[in-house]
Amino acid sequence: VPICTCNLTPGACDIDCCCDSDCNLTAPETVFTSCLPGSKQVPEQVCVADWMVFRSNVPYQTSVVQEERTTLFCVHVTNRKAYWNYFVEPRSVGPDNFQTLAAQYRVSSFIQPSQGPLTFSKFYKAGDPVLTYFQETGALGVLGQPTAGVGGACVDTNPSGFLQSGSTSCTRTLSNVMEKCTNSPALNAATYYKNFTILKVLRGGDSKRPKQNPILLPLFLETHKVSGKMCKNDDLQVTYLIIYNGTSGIQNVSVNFTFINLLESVRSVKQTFRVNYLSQALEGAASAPKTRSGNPGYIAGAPLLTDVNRQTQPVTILQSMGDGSCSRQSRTDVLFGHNMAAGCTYRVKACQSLQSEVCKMLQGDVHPRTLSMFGSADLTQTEEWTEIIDPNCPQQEENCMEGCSVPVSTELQVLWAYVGPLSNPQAQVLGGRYLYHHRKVQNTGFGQCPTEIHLTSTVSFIDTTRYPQPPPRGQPSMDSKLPFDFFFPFIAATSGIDRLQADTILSILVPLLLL
Amino acid sequence: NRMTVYEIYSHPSLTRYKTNICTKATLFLLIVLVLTYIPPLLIVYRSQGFWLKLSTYEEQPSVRFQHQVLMIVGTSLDGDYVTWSTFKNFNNLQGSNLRVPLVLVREEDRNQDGKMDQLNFKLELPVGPLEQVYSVQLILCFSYELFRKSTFVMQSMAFIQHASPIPGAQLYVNGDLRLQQLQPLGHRGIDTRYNIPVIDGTSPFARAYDLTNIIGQYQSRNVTSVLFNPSPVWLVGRATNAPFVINAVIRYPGEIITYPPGFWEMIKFAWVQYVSVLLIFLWVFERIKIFVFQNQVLTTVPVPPYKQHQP
Repeated sequence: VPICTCNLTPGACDIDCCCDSDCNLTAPETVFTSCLPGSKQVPEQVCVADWMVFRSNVPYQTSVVQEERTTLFCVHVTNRKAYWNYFVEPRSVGPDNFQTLAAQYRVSSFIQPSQGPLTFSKFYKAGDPVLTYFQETGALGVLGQPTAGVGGACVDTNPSGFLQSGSTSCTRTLSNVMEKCTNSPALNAATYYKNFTILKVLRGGDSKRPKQNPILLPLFLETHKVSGKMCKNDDLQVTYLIIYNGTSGIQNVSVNFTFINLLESVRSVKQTFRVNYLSQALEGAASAPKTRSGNPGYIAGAPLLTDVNRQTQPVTILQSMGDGSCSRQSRTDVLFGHNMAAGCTYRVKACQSLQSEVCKMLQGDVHPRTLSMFGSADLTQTEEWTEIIDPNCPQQEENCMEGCSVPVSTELQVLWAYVGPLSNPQAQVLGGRYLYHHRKVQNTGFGQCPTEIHLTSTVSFIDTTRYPQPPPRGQPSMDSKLPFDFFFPFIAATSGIDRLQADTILSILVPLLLL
Repeated sequence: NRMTVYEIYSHPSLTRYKTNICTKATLFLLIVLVLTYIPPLLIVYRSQGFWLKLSTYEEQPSVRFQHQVLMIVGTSLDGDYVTWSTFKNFNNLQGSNLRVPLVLVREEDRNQDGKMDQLNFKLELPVGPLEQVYSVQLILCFSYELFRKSTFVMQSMAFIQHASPIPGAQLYVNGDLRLQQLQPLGHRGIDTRYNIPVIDGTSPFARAYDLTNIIGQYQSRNVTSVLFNPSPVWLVGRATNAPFVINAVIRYPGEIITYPPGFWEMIKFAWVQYVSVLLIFLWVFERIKIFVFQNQVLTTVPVPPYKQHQP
């Protein structure tokens, strides 16, 4: 063998390498348990199954090899050299053809070809990052809208997309509040408006300096500082309001802050960032546009609406606090189409007013009396509102000193149905009612009422849609008079799935029928 | 001294039976004709499986690693992490959490058939002296192509996730990249529905790289590839100055792919079934016809064979 592929250490004997001359073995098979592939002569041979050949008359050497289960007949010399070598004529690679060869055989690499630098058109398009300009350095940046990255921590470099209004929130970890208070830019309001301006358009006009918008500040802006054991005026919420005007770009930017005072013991704080884009034409209107729960029908997952003091507000149910207790302030929205359940533990303060206190807890501060039938609620249209049945929490006027019946759970049942055309169904609320479940609260024997009562609040949506036709609905299907399955391929082929095939079928079926 | 007589030759002779159009014999023959050809069709149809609506074929896909990686490694029990990807925009977002590893990738075509058979992926992540590795999330992107029936091209991924309360030194994963079909593929044509990137590397926004978004969009596909039976091995005992190593072997096995057969394939299998039942009916009714006409159950005019050439 001219080349010994397993001889990898020159001057030393490679184990199981039968062609290694360093081993100095006359019969290596006797010393090694086996010979590595490539260390014995590999015959170049072409083999076929033995039973296929009766008689061999080739002039070359042949042999019969017994494989595991088959017997092979092999011819030892091949005259088709091109089939057994990689390169008959080795290609020469130089600077002129390197690029073409690399491009021809390349599949993919770690350098992703599509990731060039960001290219912008002349004006902002929806989804483009909003650019900022730092006057001092002359550098360009993007308006950041920090969002939660892996593990919820803030990713400050996340850009805000043009016209993509929305809020993001993320967790800011503070290992030492008092130390971070003065030097953490994330908690300092100045980070979010100072030293930079917002570009009006992406590539500003003829002058070298881009057209800019300074950020308008709220009237009252206090600096943040340490005072005692507290870090004062830390950012909790940052809200940008960006006024735009079509392709002529951003006209006006203002920022608003919500501040919080952080105690020394705080380890992390949840910050919220909101960017609202508002068309210049609507600038005079409300600053934050109200969202509907659907137009007109409710969208699944949108809040169920009620009318509270001539204002459209979501229906809420009680929610447990971090320590499991009830709170009248912390309540969660009822989402249309979602069956919900929540609960909390009510710690009894006074027995006398137990019933009314529990009722207030279950109902919330303002108890809903009506439900909006559609997601696009209009307070002036009375026919779009439905009265809730039994909205009041039933209370017996009795002193609870000797045991009484207390409402412990409430269930809001909402009947709804799809209305309108099948192709465009709209969800409509038909009615709702409150169900209260009571529990007899026993006097514990010492003249005291129980210390804790578990309250639950549930919501169930009941679909009462009446369908004009059996399922499957909504999909256009062929109204076939033939039993569909019996003529399956013909109907499948002609019902528009495969137009071309249908033509060939018809061209064959027609002569067959004529016969 | 009798001569031995034997049958030297035989052939069936043709007897013709003649009748008018409006006779019982004509009616009988019509009924027999209908009974011969229609009932086999009904029997074959009623016994299920007349139309072959779903079939399968075997193919080894042509899979190539796209050299797109997204890695998130948890380095403490408090939620600290380091991350890296091959997407520049993602790396730009990560700030101080970015940690660039050493990556070694090799795809092997073991049987020299022109299709890759496995990917050997090795990633060595440098870890600081105060850090320990508790969890790994890794996305590897592949291009996945099938050619035998329809040309199906998709960009798919393998998702590796492992977490342990014990700090690790190495994660070893060895599994198959299997095709997960929720619907049959076409029997012909080109299908590029899912030839879209798993991770949109062109987006500068953080939500494009959110794992819940990536997994959510990927799982909503009807055809995906999944890392099947990854058998993760978590090796512990990392030296302080040693890197954390991810070693993955991902095999590209052959797949059984379901598809709805085309028109002619359906007709062929239906024909095979129909004719095999029809043959029995033909034989039975042939016997009945011979009995009826030979015994003159219905009156006809038989024309014997030796009279055939006479007018």
